[in-house]
Amino acid sequence: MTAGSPSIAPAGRLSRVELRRYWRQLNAESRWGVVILALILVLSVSVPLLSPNDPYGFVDQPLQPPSAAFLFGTDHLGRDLLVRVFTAARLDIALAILGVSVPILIGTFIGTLAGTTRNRIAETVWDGLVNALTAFPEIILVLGIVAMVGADIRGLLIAIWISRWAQYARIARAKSLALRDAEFVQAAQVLGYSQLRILVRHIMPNVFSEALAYALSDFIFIIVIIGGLSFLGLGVTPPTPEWGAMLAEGRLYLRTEPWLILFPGFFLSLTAIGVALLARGLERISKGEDD
Amino acid sequence: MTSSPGGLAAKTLPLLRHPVLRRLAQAFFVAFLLMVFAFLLIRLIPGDPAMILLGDEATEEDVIAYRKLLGIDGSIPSQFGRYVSNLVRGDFGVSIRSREPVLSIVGKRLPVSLWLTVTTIVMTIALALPLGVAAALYRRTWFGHAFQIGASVLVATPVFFSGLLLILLFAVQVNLAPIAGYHAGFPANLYYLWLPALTINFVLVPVLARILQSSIVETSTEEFVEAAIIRGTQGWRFYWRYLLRPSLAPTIAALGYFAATVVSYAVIIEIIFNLPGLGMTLVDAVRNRDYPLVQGIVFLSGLLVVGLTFMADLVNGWLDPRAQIR
Amino acid sequence: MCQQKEREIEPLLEVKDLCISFGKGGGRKLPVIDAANLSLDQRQAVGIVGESGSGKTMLCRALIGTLPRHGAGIVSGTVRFDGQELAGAPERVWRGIRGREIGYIPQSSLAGLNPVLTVETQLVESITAVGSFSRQEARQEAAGLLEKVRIPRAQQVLKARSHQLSGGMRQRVMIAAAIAQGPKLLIADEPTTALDVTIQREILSLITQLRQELNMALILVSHDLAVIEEVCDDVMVMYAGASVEAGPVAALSKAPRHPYTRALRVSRVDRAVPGQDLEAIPGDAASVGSWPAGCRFWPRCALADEACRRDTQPALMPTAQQLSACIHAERMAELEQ
Repeated sequence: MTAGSPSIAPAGRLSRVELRRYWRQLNAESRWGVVILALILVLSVSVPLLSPNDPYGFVDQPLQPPSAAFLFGTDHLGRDLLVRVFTAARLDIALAILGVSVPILIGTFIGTLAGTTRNRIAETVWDGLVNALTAFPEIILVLGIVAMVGADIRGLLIAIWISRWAQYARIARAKSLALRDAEFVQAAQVLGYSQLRILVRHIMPNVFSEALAYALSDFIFIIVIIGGLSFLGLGVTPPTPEWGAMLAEGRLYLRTEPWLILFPGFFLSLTAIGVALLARGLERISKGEDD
Repeated sequence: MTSSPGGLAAKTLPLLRHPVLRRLAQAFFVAFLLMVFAFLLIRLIPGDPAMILLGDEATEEDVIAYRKLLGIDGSIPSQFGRYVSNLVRGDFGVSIRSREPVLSIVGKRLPVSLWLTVTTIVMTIALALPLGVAAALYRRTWFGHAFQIGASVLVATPVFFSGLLLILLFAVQVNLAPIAGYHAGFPANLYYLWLPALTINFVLVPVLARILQSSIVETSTEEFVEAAIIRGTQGWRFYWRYLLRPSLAPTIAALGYFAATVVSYAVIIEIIFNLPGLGMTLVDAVRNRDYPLVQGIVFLSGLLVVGLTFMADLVNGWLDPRAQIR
Repeated sequence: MCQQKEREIEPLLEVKDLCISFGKGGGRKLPVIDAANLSLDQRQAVGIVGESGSGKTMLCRALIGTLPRHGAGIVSGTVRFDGQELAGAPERVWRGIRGREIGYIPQSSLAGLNPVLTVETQLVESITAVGSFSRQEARQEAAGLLEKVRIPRAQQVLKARSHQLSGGMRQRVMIAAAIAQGPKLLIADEPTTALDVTIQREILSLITQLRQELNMALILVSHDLAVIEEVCDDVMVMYAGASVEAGPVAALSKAPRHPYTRALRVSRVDRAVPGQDLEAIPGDAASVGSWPAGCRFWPRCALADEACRRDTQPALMPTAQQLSACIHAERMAELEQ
């Protein structure tokens, strides 16, 4: 995937014609991904806006099955599940985007730095560091950091940032190792640009496109971590609507009122599936597989 | 794992040219760094941990005693020295809550987690092998397409949701598994473990089967496969020797890579299925701010993953001699 | 091979107007070979020469029945081997032919041997595919095969895996596997391309000797006319999916009757005079799917005129001692003087 591929282009400046052209370049998988994600985005913006019900407020009898009045039913505190599911979508997606974007920046910078130094011992130590950091089971490392920093949204984000940069650093290092002898880099060196300027202006942008490809699959993992830790009661906590936390609450009513977990779980999975389809579709386009 | 640490050492120490020893040296180096990370973990706490744990009314003596308990008294190098020498002697500190040594708590809870991990991996192999082979052989039929779609859906479904769905299906609707809980003792414990293991495999099997599938498809275009057909090799011998065995290496390597994922998901799974393993202990410890216990479990789980990856490397070297020349 | 000769016995192998296409029947089809002709007698050695993309390898695959594996199939034409029609033969028939009747040596590379199995395992497979042998007998037979292909220290090589062997050794092992079942015909598809020049010579002379010792016919595929002249009696030249000239090696090298053959001969490295430019064939080889109308060689041919661009690829016609698909074959003769 290169910087020119459809997912990365800034949407704001696109004309309708260009959009149509990008759409035509997509394969079936990535189109399904786009459709699913667009649907979830539209619903998460519109449902809480259009519904008269407050995601935190009591609206009717608790634990009502889905009906015309309450499409997804009501939860154990008599709140409208429909509004809560899509209010949660806003929070989860926003947190996941925040969770992905910081590690990309940190990791790409560190990785590029590591890739452009030429020191055998530094490289050895570097390899060990990244290997060690990635050897920790992801969720356990996040839990460990959350335990120290604090079991709330802030702690969760910091934990994700600390634990996820290494993969980007690894990608960036591999790419910049290949780039450091490239002609344009050598040209910049001949012109006498500072090492930092070459790094930030010339190498990082090239490394970035590969990091973004990885970011899509990382997004899935991060949205699962956010939901997972909240499910364990260590991230977003009730009454804030969040998919994982809602699953933890609904779990107690699994036998009798299964819709309490079915709706939040379904939309959480659907979001992840949408991103997964998009990622896989784009990956296959970049590899040149057309089927 | 890339080869650099061993690569540098190989130049200085001829002994390390042996691939197994080189892997081992790498594993030790990573384990040492895990230790450094675990040590640094407790230093992430904003403010004074002892004060946080004891509250505002703590006396000076209490705070000093607590710092000693947490190993955060004195200079950082001396703290690290003590930490390492304690670890080497098997002293992982004491749980703040129960005042029990961390290692003995882990010793009590580890068997459940190990049983879960082993059951999961056995199930992974039992499911991913036939699925991957079938997906490769029938990739142009409806089965192949269904496999691709199903795999995409399963991989993206979070385990804490699929776990609840499976409980709903197998424990509530059909009475094939308990809703939650655990009793030790093989083989009775399998009754409590099969559903949790299946849940983790909902994520793991599609990934591995896909890797195996593309690896088999790649192998099948190799010239030696054609040579074997011409030679008249047929039946199971052909499938095992010429399609499966040369394709297994990437799958086993991936299994080693996903060891971290298994151990990771096991934490959430233990909570859902109420299995009293390390994961549940860890979550409780995080809730209680039992810093030494968290630190110990994080370090040991990292060590477990390094060990599993090392084993996957060894199996790989035996299955595919090509892997050793790299 | 020449049709002037009166035929009393049927040739061992006769390929007539063979057409091979990619893609399954009915669906989109991409022809790779549409006029291949080949004939060889018992114990005869025939070379097939042509550039890459001319369809040599596909023709070999048709002769060992592995076209379907590569997404291709025979559309029309006949392949008669030892009195049996093989075009469109079911897998069951092929199992009795492959290895047993027709041995095959693939292009020399790491790829011919399974990297995870020992040489012994693979040779034993070959041996036990035909007769019933005990384990011990099969092992002895395997060691014997390695001696036949002149491998010293056979016991050591038997226990080795492909990455532990040199390219030449690997190719010897492949030859051993190919002759294990005593085939009547040996097909060698570019058996020396990836090897050093000295090793190439060794392998070629080994193939020649084995052919005589074991009374086998041989089809040797190469892009190098010199290699074929050294080893074979007859030669068939392929260009863009069609046989363009066929006949005795001596005739084709002395008096080629197709401009393409002549160009191949002229561009030979071993005949180049120092200081003089190597005369390469002008233009690019016609690639599969974009063959020109008329004679396929005309865009690169010095003799081409209006007649060459019309109709379709000309058929092989007898001329002098060989067969040629050039409508100006007679003019070629004048050109040589």
